[in-house]
Amino acid sequence: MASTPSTSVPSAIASAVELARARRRRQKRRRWPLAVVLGCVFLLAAGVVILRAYGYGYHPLAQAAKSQLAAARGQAPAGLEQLAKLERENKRLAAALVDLVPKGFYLVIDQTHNRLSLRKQDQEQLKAACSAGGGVVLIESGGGKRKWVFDTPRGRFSVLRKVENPVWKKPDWAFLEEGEPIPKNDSERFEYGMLGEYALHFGNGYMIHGTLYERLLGRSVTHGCIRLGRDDLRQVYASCPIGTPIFIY
Amino acid sequence: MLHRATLRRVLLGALAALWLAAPLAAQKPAAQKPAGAKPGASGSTDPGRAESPPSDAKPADAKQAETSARTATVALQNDALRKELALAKGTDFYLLVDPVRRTLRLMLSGVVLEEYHLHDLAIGTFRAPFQRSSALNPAGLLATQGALDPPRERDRFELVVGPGETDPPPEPPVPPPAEEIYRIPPRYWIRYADGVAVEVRSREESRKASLKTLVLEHIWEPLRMALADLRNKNRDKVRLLLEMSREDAAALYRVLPPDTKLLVLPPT
Repeated sequence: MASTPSTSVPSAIASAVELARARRRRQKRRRWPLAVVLGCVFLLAAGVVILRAYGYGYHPLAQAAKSQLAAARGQAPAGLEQLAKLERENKRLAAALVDLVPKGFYLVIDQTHNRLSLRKQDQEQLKAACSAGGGVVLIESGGGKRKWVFDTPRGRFSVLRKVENPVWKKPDWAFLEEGEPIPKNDSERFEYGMLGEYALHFGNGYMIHGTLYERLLGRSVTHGCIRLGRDDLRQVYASCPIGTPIFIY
Repeated sequence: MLHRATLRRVLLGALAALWLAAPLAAQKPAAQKPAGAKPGASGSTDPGRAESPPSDAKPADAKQAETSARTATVALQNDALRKELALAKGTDFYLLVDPVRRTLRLMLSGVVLEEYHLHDLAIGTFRAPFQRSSALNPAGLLATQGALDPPRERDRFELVVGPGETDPPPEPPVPPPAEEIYRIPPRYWIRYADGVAVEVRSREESRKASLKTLVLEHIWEPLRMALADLRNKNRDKVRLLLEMSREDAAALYRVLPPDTKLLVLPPT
Protein backbone atom coordinates (compact mmCIF):
# COMPACT_ATOMS: atom_id res chain seq x y z
CA MET A 1 0.00 0.00 0.00
CA ALA A 2 1.59 3.36 -1.05
CA SER A 3 2.14 6.09 1.54
CA THR A 4 -0.25 8.91 1.26
CA PRO A 5 1.23 12.04 -0.40
CA SER A 6 -0.35 14.21 2.25
CA THR A 7 2.03 12.96 4.97
CA SER A 8 5.28 12.52 2.96
CA VAL A 9 5.31 15.89 1.13
CA PRO A 10 5.11 18.09 4.20
CA SER A 11 7.84 16.10 5.91
CA ALA A 12 9.98 16.30 2.77
CA ILE A 13 9.44 20.03 2.61
CA ALA A 14 10.18 20.36 6.31
CA SER A 15 13.41 18.43 5.98
CA ALA A 16 14.40 20.44 2.93
CA VAL A 17 13.76 23.64 4.81
CA GLU A 18 15.72 22.31 7.77
CA LEU A 19 18.59 21.40 5.48
CA ALA A 20 18.56 24.86 3.90
CA ARG A 21 18.57 26.48 7.33
CA ALA A 22 21.45 24.34 8.44
CA ARG A 23 23.33 25.23 5.23
CA ARG A 24 22.65 28.93 5.82
CA ARG A 25 23.85 28.62 9.42
CA ARG A 26 27.06 27.00 8.20
CA GLN A 27 27.47 29.71 5.57
CA LYS A 28 26.86 32.37 8.19
CA ARG A 29 29.59 30.92 10.36
CA ARG A 30 31.96 30.96 7.37
CA ARG A 31 31.01 34.48 6.27
CA TRP A 32 31.51 36.50 9.41
CA PRO A 33 35.35 36.46 9.33
CA LEU A 34 35.15 37.64 5.73
CA ALA A 35 32.76 40.40 6.77
CA VAL A 36 35.12 41.48 9.53
CA VAL A 37 38.08 41.60 7.15
CA LEU A 38 36.13 43.50 4.52
CA GLY A 39 34.87 45.90 7.15
CA CYS A 40 38.43 46.57 8.33
CA VAL A 41 39.63 47.12 4.77
CA PHE A 42 36.77 49.51 4.18
CA LEU A 43 37.52 51.46 7.35
CA LEU A 44 41.24 51.58 6.49
CA ALA A 45 40.53 52.80 2.97
CA ALA A 46 38.13 55.41 4.28
CA GLY A 47 40.72 56.52 6.83
CA VAL A 48 43.44 56.81 4.21
CA VAL A 49 41.22 58.82 1.88
CA ILE A 50 40.09 61.17 4.63
CA LEU A 51 43.57 61.68 6.07
CA ARG A 52 45.04 62.09 2.59
CA ALA A 53 42.65 64.97 2.20
CA TYR A 54 44.45 66.69 5.05
CA GLY A 55 47.91 68.11 4.67
CA TYR A 56 49.53 70.32 2.11
CA GLY A 57 48.16 70.46 -1.40
CA TYR A 58 50.85 71.41 -3.90
CA HIS A 59 50.48 73.22 -7.21
CA PRO A 60 53.12 74.09 -9.80
CA LEU A 61 54.76 77.35 -8.78
CA ALA A 62 54.71 78.91 -12.24
CA GLN A 63 51.02 78.18 -12.60
CA ALA A 64 50.23 79.61 -9.17
CA ALA A 65 52.24 82.74 -9.97
CA LYS A 66 50.41 83.17 -13.29
CA SER A 67 47.06 82.75 -11.56
CA GLN A 68 48.06 85.40 -9.06
CA LEU A 69 49.00 87.68 -11.94
CA ALA A 70 45.72 87.02 -13.73
CA ALA A 71 43.80 87.79 -10.53
CA ALA A 72 45.72 91.05 -10.09
CA ARG A 73 44.80 92.01 -13.65
CA GLY A 74 41.14 91.91 -12.75
CA GLN A 75 41.51 94.73 -10.24
CA ALA A 76 40.28 98.26 -10.76
CA PRO A 77 41.08 99.55 -14.26
CA ALA A 78 44.12 101.79 -14.62
CA GLY A 79 44.99 104.59 -16.99
CA LEU A 80 47.90 105.16 -19.36
CA GLU A 81 49.43 107.75 -17.07
CA GLN A 82 49.58 105.30 -14.17
CA LEU A 83 51.06 102.67 -16.45
CA ALA A 84 53.73 105.07 -17.69
CA LYS A 85 54.64 105.97 -14.10
CA LEU A 86 54.94 102.29 -13.15
CA GLU A 87 57.08 101.53 -16.19
CA ARG A 88 59.45 104.39 -15.35
CA GLU A 89 59.80 103.05 -11.83
CA ASN A 90 60.35 99.54 -13.24
CA LYS A 91 63.26 100.77 -15.34
CA ARG A 92 64.72 102.67 -12.41
CA LEU A 93 64.56 99.66 -10.10
CA ALA A 94 66.02 97.30 -12.70
CA ALA A 95 68.87 99.74 -13.38
CA ALA A 96 69.55 100.11 -9.65
CA LEU A 97 69.87 96.34 -9.35
CA VAL A 98 72.27 96.13 -12.27
CA ASP A 99 74.36 98.94 -10.75
CA LEU A 100 75.01 96.87 -7.64
CA VAL A 101 76.95 94.23 -9.57
CA PRO A 102 80.67 95.16 -9.59
CA LYS A 103 81.81 96.49 -12.96
CA GLY A 104 85.41 95.23 -12.71
CA PHE A 105 86.90 92.09 -11.23
CA TYR A 106 85.53 90.55 -8.09
CA LEU A 107 86.21 87.38 -6.13
CA VAL A 108 83.69 84.75 -5.05
CA ILE A 109 84.99 82.25 -2.51
CA ASP A 110 83.14 79.06 -1.54
CA GLN A 111 84.80 78.26 1.76
CA THR A 112 82.90 74.98 2.19
CA HIS A 113 84.10 73.43 -1.05
CA ASN A 114 87.36 75.44 -1.03
CA ARG A 115 86.85 77.04 -4.43
CA LEU A 116 87.77 80.53 -5.55
CA SER A 117 86.31 82.20 -8.61
CA LEU A 118 87.68 85.39 -10.19
CA ARG A 119 84.90 87.05 -12.18
CA LYS A 120 84.33 90.09 -14.29
CA GLN A 121 80.80 91.15 -15.28
CA ASP A 122 79.45 87.71 -14.36
CA GLN A 123 82.03 85.99 -16.57
CA GLU A 124 84.37 83.62 -14.80
CA GLN A 125 88.01 84.46 -15.51
CA LEU A 126 89.64 81.98 -13.15
CA LYS A 127 88.47 78.98 -11.14
CA ALA A 128 90.94 77.83 -8.51
CA ALA A 129 91.22 75.44 -5.61
CA CYS A 130 91.94 77.18 -2.34
CA SER A 131 92.04 76.40 1.36
CA ALA A 132 89.76 78.07 3.87
CA GLY A 133 89.43 77.94 7.65
CA GLY A 134 89.47 74.49 9.24
CA GLY A 135 87.10 75.31 12.07
CA VAL A 136 89.59 74.17 14.73
CA VAL A 137 88.96 75.53 18.24
CA LEU A 138 92.04 76.48 20.25
CA ILE A 139 91.56 76.99 23.97
CA GLU A 140 94.18 78.39 26.25
CA SER A 141 93.88 76.49 29.53
CA GLY A 142 95.97 78.74 31.73
CA GLY A 143 96.63 82.47 31.79
CA GLY A 144 93.96 84.47 29.98
CA LYS A 145 91.91 81.38 29.05
CA ARG A 146 91.52 82.75 25.57
CA LYS A 147 89.68 80.90 22.84
CA TRP A 148 90.15 81.07 19.08
CA VAL A 149 87.87 79.57 16.44
CA PHE A 150 89.60 79.26 13.10
CA ASP A 151 86.76 79.94 10.68
CA THR A 152 86.83 82.02 7.54
CA PRO A 153 84.24 84.79 7.89
CA ARG A 154 81.24 84.98 5.56
CA GLY A 155 80.01 88.11 3.85
CA ARG A 156 81.16 90.90 1.59
CA PHE A 157 84.66 92.31 1.96
CA SER A 158 87.09 94.22 -0.20
CA VAL A 159 90.79 94.23 -0.84
CA LEU A 160 92.25 96.74 1.63
CA ARG A 161 95.96 96.24 1.10
CA LYS A 162 98.24 94.42 -1.30
CA VAL A 163 101.68 93.24 -0.24
CA GLU A 164 104.49 91.63 -2.17
CA ASN A 165 106.65 89.08 -0.36
CA PRO A 166 104.57 89.36 2.79
CA VAL A 167 106.06 88.62 6.17
CA TRP A 168 103.96 86.82 8.71
CA LYS A 169 103.83 88.39 12.14
CA LYS A 170 102.83 85.37 14.21
CA PRO A 171 100.00 86.01 16.66
CA ASP A 172 99.85 84.43 20.13
CA TRP A 173 97.81 81.43 19.01
CA ALA A 174 100.54 80.40 16.54
CA PHE A 175 102.97 79.96 19.45
CA LEU A 176 100.42 78.25 21.70
CA GLU A 177 99.51 75.86 18.91
CA GLU A 178 103.11 74.71 18.65
CA GLY A 179 103.63 74.56 22.37
CA GLU A 180 106.10 77.44 22.29
CA PRO A 181 106.26 80.29 24.77
CA ILE A 182 104.82 83.59 23.59
CA PRO A 183 107.77 85.95 22.94
CA LYS A 184 107.90 89.26 24.69
CA ASN A 185 109.83 90.80 21.85
CA ASP A 186 107.91 91.56 18.64
CA SER A 187 110.96 90.93 16.50
CA GLU A 188 110.75 87.26 17.43
CA ARG A 189 107.29 86.95 15.84
CA PHE A 190 108.25 87.42 12.19
CA GLU A 191 108.38 84.50 9.80
CA TYR A 192 109.53 84.86 6.20
CA GLY A 193 108.33 82.94 3.18
CA MET A 194 105.34 81.32 4.89
CA LEU A 195 102.76 83.39 3.00
CA GLY A 196 104.03 82.99 -0.53
CA GLU A 197 104.79 85.76 -3.03
CA TYR A 198 101.76 87.97 -2.47
CA ALA A 199 99.07 88.78 0.06
CA LEU A 200 95.76 90.60 -0.28
CA HIS A 201 94.41 91.80 3.06
CA PHE A 202 90.64 92.07 3.50
CA GLY A 203 90.30 93.06 7.11
CA ASN A 204 90.58 91.82 10.71
CA GLY A 205 93.86 90.07 10.00
CA TYR A 206 92.43 87.90 7.21
CA MET A 207 94.30 87.62 3.90
CA ILE A 208 94.44 85.80 0.62
CA HIS A 209 98.00 84.54 0.40
CA GLY A 210 100.23 81.77 -0.90
CA THR A 211 101.28 78.58 0.81
CA LEU A 212 104.10 76.10 1.18
CA TYR A 213 101.59 73.27 1.34
CA GLU A 214 99.99 73.26 -2.12
CA ARG A 215 99.12 69.56 -1.73
CA LEU A 216 96.54 70.60 0.89
CA LEU A 217 94.70 72.99 -1.43
CA GLY A 218 91.04 71.97 -1.59
CA ARG A 219 90.93 71.12 2.12
CA SER A 220 89.85 73.33 4.99
CA VAL A 221 93.14 73.55 6.87
CA THR A 222 93.86 77.23 7.49
CA HIS A 223 93.35 79.42 10.50
CA GLY A 224 90.85 81.56 8.64
CA CYS A 225 92.87 83.01 5.77
CA ILE A 226 92.45 81.89 2.17
CA ARG A 227 95.43 80.08 0.67
CA LEU A 228 96.00 79.86 -3.06
CA GLY A 229 98.47 78.09 -5.29
CA ARG A 230 101.34 80.16 -6.70
CA ASP A 231 100.08 80.56 -10.27
CA ASP A 232 96.51 81.35 -9.24
CA LEU A 233 97.72 83.83 -6.67
CA ARG A 234 99.76 85.65 -9.32
CA GLN A 235 96.71 86.05 -11.55
CA VAL A 236 94.49 87.20 -8.67
CA TYR A 237 97.11 89.67 -7.44
CA ALA A 238 97.55 91.12 -10.93
CA SER A 239 93.81 91.42 -11.61
CA CYS A 240 92.47 92.75 -8.30
CA PRO A 241 93.28 96.32 -7.33
CA ILE A 242 92.58 97.77 -3.90
CA GLY A 243 88.82 97.99 -3.42
CA THR A 244 88.06 94.79 -5.35
CA PRO A 245 84.96 93.19 -3.79
CA ILE A 246 85.33 89.76 -2.20
CA PHE A 247 82.25 87.62 -1.53
CA ILE A 248 82.74 84.70 0.83
CA TYR A 249 80.00 82.17 1.63
CA MET B 1 23.73 38.24 8.49
CA LEU B 2 24.00 39.54 4.99
CA HIS B 3 23.85 37.34 1.93
CA ARG B 4 26.83 37.25 -0.33
CA ALA B 5 25.04 39.25 -3.02
CA THR B 6 23.93 41.86 -0.52
CA LEU B 7 27.45 42.08 0.88
CA ARG B 8 28.80 42.59 -2.60
CA ARG B 9 26.30 45.39 -3.20
CA VAL B 10 27.21 47.08 0.10
CA LEU B 11 30.93 46.93 -0.74
CA LEU B 12 30.43 48.33 -4.21
CA GLY B 13 28.30 51.11 -2.78
CA ALA B 14 30.96 51.98 -0.22
CA LEU B 15 33.70 52.11 -2.86
CA ALA B 16 31.51 54.32 -5.02
CA ALA B 17 30.93 56.62 -2.05
CA LEU B 18 34.68 56.87 -1.41
CA TRP B 19 35.32 57.58 -5.07
CA LEU B 20 32.83 60.45 -4.96
CA ALA B 21 34.03 61.75 -1.60
CA ALA B 22 37.72 61.98 -2.55
CA PRO B 23 37.40 65.00 -4.89
CA LEU B 24 35.27 66.78 -2.29
CA ALA B 25 37.81 66.11 0.41
CA ALA B 26 40.76 67.25 -1.67
CA GLN B 27 39.69 70.81 -2.22
CA LYS B 28 41.67 72.93 -4.62
CA PRO B 29 42.78 76.35 -3.30
CA ALA B 30 40.33 79.18 -3.72
CA ALA B 31 40.58 80.25 -7.34
CA GLN B 32 40.43 84.01 -7.23
CA LYS B 33 37.85 85.27 -9.63
CA PRO B 34 38.89 88.60 -11.08
CA ALA B 35 36.63 91.34 -9.85
CA GLY B 36 34.09 92.16 -12.51
CA ALA B 37 35.15 89.28 -14.65
CA LYS B 38 32.75 88.59 -17.46
CA PRO B 39 32.38 85.17 -19.00
CA GLY B 40 33.93 84.89 -22.46
CA ALA B 41 32.41 83.26 -25.48
CA SER B 42 32.72 79.86 -23.87
CA GLY B 43 31.15 81.09 -20.65
CA SER B 44 34.31 80.31 -18.67
CA THR B 45 35.50 82.44 -15.76
CA ASP B 46 38.82 80.60 -15.30
CA PRO B 47 41.26 83.30 -14.15
CA GLY B 48 44.22 81.36 -15.51
CA ARG B 49 43.01 81.54 -19.08
CA ALA B 50 43.49 84.72 -21.05
CA GLU B 51 40.10 85.95 -22.11
CA SER B 52 39.69 87.29 -25.58
CA PRO B 53 37.11 90.04 -25.62
CA PRO B 54 33.85 89.34 -27.41
CA SER B 55 34.00 90.03 -31.08
CA ASP B 56 31.53 92.87 -30.79
CA ALA B 57 33.54 94.67 -27.93
CA LYS B 58 34.54 98.28 -28.55
CA PRO B 59 38.24 98.89 -29.26
CA ALA B 60 38.40 101.28 -26.29
CA ASP B 61 37.33 98.49 -23.93
CA ALA B 62 39.99 96.20 -25.33
CA LYS B 63 42.66 98.87 -24.95
CA GLN B 64 41.51 99.58 -21.40
CA ALA B 65 41.69 95.89 -20.54
CA GLU B 66 45.16 95.67 -22.04
CA THR B 67 46.30 98.73 -20.10
CA SER B 68 44.90 97.36 -16.86
CA ALA B 69 46.54 93.99 -17.47
CA ARG B 70 49.89 95.58 -18.23
CA THR B 71 49.56 97.85 -15.16
CA ALA B 72 48.92 94.88 -12.88
CA THR B 73 51.89 93.00 -14.34
CA VAL B 74 54.27 95.93 -13.95
CA ALA B 75 52.97 96.66 -10.45
CA LEU B 76 53.69 93.07 -9.40
CA GLN B 77 57.14 93.22 -10.98
CA ASN B 78 57.90 96.52 -9.25
CA ASP B 79 56.90 95.08 -5.88
CA ALA B 80 59.30 92.17 -6.37
CA LEU B 81 62.05 94.47 -7.69
CA ARG B 82 61.76 96.70 -4.64
CA LYS B 83 62.12 93.72 -2.36
CA GLU B 84 65.04 92.39 -4.35
CA LEU B 85 66.75 95.78 -4.27
CA ALA B 86 66.29 95.99 -0.49
CA LEU B 87 67.83 92.54 -0.13
CA ALA B 88 70.70 93.42 -2.46
CA LYS B 89 71.50 96.58 -0.50
CA GLY B 90 71.57 94.64 2.75
CA THR B 91 74.33 92.49 4.20
CA ASP B 92 72.43 89.20 4.34
CA PHE B 93 72.53 86.26 2.00
CA TYR B 94 69.30 85.51 0.16
CA LEU B 95 67.82 82.90 -2.15
CA LEU B 96 66.01 83.96 -5.33
CA VAL B 97 63.49 81.52 -6.78
CA ASP B 98 62.68 82.14 -10.43
CA PRO B 99 59.65 80.02 -11.40
CA VAL B 100 59.92 80.83 -15.11
CA ARG B 101 63.63 80.10 -15.58
CA ARG B 102 63.41 77.32 -12.95
CA THR B 103 66.48 78.46 -11.08
CA LEU B 104 67.44 78.94 -7.46
CA ARG B 105 70.17 81.48 -6.88
CA LEU B 106 72.19 82.13 -3.75
CA MET B 107 72.89 85.86 -3.71
CA LEU B 108 74.73 88.49 -1.74
CA SER B 109 74.63 92.21 -2.47
CA GLY B 110 73.11 91.61 -5.89
CA VAL B 111 75.84 89.17 -6.95
CA VAL B 112 75.04 85.59 -7.89
CA LEU B 113 77.17 83.25 -5.79
CA GLU B 114 75.62 79.96 -6.88
CA GLU B 115 72.89 79.01 -9.30
CA TYR B 116 70.98 75.72 -9.21
CA HIS B 117 68.63 74.34 -11.81
CA LEU B 118 65.25 73.23 -10.48
CA HIS B 119 63.55 70.22 -12.00
CA ASP B 120 60.30 70.88 -10.20
CA LEU B 121 58.82 73.74 -8.22
CA ALA B 122 55.55 73.64 -6.35
CA ILE B 123 53.80 75.65 -3.70
CA GLY B 124 51.23 74.46 -1.23
CA THR B 125 49.11 75.51 1.70
CA PHE B 126 47.47 73.46 4.41
CA ARG B 127 44.06 72.04 3.51
CA ALA B 128 41.30 70.28 5.38
CA PRO B 129 38.38 68.31 3.93
CA PHE B 130 35.40 70.29 2.76
CA GLN B 131 37.21 73.57 3.40
CA ARG B 132 38.67 75.87 0.79
CA SER B 133 42.36 76.42 1.41
CA SER B 134 43.76 79.93 1.23
CA ALA B 135 44.85 81.39 -2.10
CA LEU B 136 48.43 80.95 -3.21
CA ASN B 137 50.33 84.17 -3.87
CA PRO B 138 53.89 83.10 -4.50
CA ALA B 139 55.07 86.07 -6.57
CA GLY B 140 56.90 88.49 -4.30
CA LEU B 141 56.88 86.06 -1.37
CA LEU B 142 59.57 87.18 1.06
CA ALA B 143 60.74 85.18 4.05
CA THR B 144 63.51 85.79 6.59
CA GLN B 145 65.71 83.91 9.07
CA GLY B 146 66.02 80.67 7.20
CA ALA B 147 67.45 77.71 9.11
CA LEU B 148 68.28 74.22 7.90
CA ASP B 149 66.24 71.33 9.23
CA PRO B 150 67.91 69.01 10.08
CA PRO B 151 70.76 71.37 10.95
CA ARG B 152 74.20 70.88 9.52
CA GLU B 153 76.41 69.18 12.08
CA ARG B 154 80.11 69.59 12.02
CA ASP B 155 82.65 68.02 14.31
CA ARG B 156 85.22 70.58 15.40
CA PHE B 157 88.65 69.61 16.54
CA GLU B 158 89.36 71.17 19.92
CA LEU B 159 92.88 71.86 21.02
CA VAL B 160 93.48 72.77 24.65
CA VAL B 161 96.92 74.17 25.32
CA GLY B 162 98.46 75.60 28.42
CA PRO B 163 101.62 77.55 29.16
CA GLY B 164 104.63 75.63 30.27
CA GLU B 165 103.64 72.36 28.67
CA THR B 166 106.74 70.47 27.53
CA ASP B 167 105.12 68.20 24.95
CA PRO B 168 103.93 69.93 21.79
CA PRO B 169 100.16 69.68 21.37
CA PRO B 170 98.83 67.24 18.78
CA GLU B 171 98.39 68.52 15.24
CA PRO B 172 94.81 68.76 14.07
CA PRO B 173 94.02 66.10 11.47
CA VAL B 174 93.57 67.12 7.85
CA PRO B 175 89.82 67.17 7.38
CA PRO B 176 88.24 65.22 4.51
CA PRO B 177 86.73 67.08 1.53
CA ALA B 178 83.42 68.83 2.07
CA GLU B 179 81.58 66.05 0.25
CA GLU B 180 82.58 63.67 3.02
CA ILE B 181 82.16 65.88 6.05
CA TYR B 182 78.39 66.26 6.09
CA ARG B 183 75.74 63.58 5.97
CA ILE B 184 73.14 64.87 3.52
CA PRO B 185 69.55 63.78 4.21
CA PRO B 186 67.51 62.69 1.15
CA ARG B 187 65.19 65.60 1.78
CA TYR B 188 65.58 68.57 4.04
CA TRP B 189 63.88 71.79 4.96
CA ILE B 190 64.76 75.44 5.15
CA ARG B 191 62.38 76.85 7.75
CA TYR B 192 61.68 80.55 7.90
CA ALA B 193 60.34 82.71 10.66
CA ASP B 194 57.31 83.85 8.68
CA GLY B 195 55.55 80.48 8.53
CA VAL B 196 57.23 79.68 5.23
CA ALA B 197 59.10 76.44 4.73
CA VAL B 198 61.05 75.21 1.73
CA GLU B 199 61.42 71.49 1.17
CA VAL B 200 64.40 70.49 -0.95
CA ARG B 201 64.54 67.04 -2.40
CA SER B 202 66.65 65.38 -5.04
CA ARG B 203 65.19 63.99 -8.23
CA GLU B 204 67.25 60.80 -8.02
CA GLU B 205 65.89 59.99 -4.59
CA SER B 206 62.36 60.53 -5.85
CA ARG B 207 62.88 58.32 -8.90
CA LYS B 208 64.62 55.27 -7.47
CA ALA B 209 61.90 54.59 -4.98
CA SER B 210 61.34 50.99 -3.99
CA LEU B 211 57.93 49.61 -3.06
CA LYS B 212 58.68 50.23 0.59
CA THR B 213 59.65 53.84 -0.17
CA LEU B 214 56.51 54.34 -2.23
CA VAL B 215 54.31 52.99 0.54
CA LEU B 216 56.13 55.16 3.09
CA GLU B 217 55.92 58.23 0.90
CA HIS B 218 52.36 57.97 -0.33
CA ILE B 219 50.62 56.38 2.64
CA TRP B 220 52.63 56.53 5.84
CA GLU B 221 54.20 59.96 5.36
CA PRO B 222 50.93 61.78 4.50
CA LEU B 223 49.20 60.09 7.44
CA ARG B 224 52.00 61.05 9.78
CA MET B 225 52.15 64.60 8.45
CA ALA B 226 48.38 65.03 8.56
CA LEU B 227 48.22 63.86 12.18
CA ALA B 228 51.18 66.04 13.12
CA ASP B 229 49.72 69.00 11.26
CA LEU B 230 46.32 68.56 12.90
CA ARG B 231 47.96 68.67 16.30
CA ASN B 232 50.32 71.48 15.42
CA LYS B 233 48.58 74.79 15.56
CA ASN B 234 51.72 76.61 14.41
CA ARG B 235 51.82 74.81 11.10
CA ASP B 236 53.57 76.28 8.09
CA LYS B 237 51.38 78.74 6.22
CA VAL B 238 53.10 78.16 2.92
CA ARG B 239 55.38 75.38 1.75
CA LEU B 240 57.59 75.50 -1.30
CA LEU B 241 58.75 72.25 -2.81
CA LEU B 242 61.97 72.38 -4.84
CA GLU B 243 63.33 69.38 -6.67
CA MET B 244 66.88 69.45 -8.01
CA SER B 245 69.67 67.04 -8.81
CA ARG B 246 71.29 65.15 -5.97
CA GLU B 247 74.58 67.02 -6.37
CA ASP B 248 72.89 70.41 -6.28
CA ALA B 249 70.71 69.51 -3.29
CA ALA B 250 73.79 68.32 -1.41
CA ALA B 251 75.84 71.37 -2.41
CA LEU B 252 73.10 73.72 -1.23
CA TYR B 253 72.83 71.90 2.08
CA ARG B 254 76.57 72.26 2.63
CA VAL B 255 76.95 75.90 1.73
CA LEU B 256 73.71 77.53 2.88
CA PRO B 257 74.68 80.34 5.26
CA PRO B 258 72.60 80.83 8.42
CA ASP B 259 69.69 83.31 8.36
CA THR B 260 69.45 83.27 4.58
CA LYS B 261 66.37 85.09 3.28
CA LEU B 262 64.07 84.02 0.45
CA LEU B 263 62.32 85.85 -2.37
CA VAL B 264 60.12 84.35 -5.09
CA LEU B 265 60.17 86.30 -8.33
CA PRO B 266 57.01 86.92 -10.39
CA PRO B 267 56.64 85.49 -13.88
CA THR B 268 57.97 87.97 -16.45
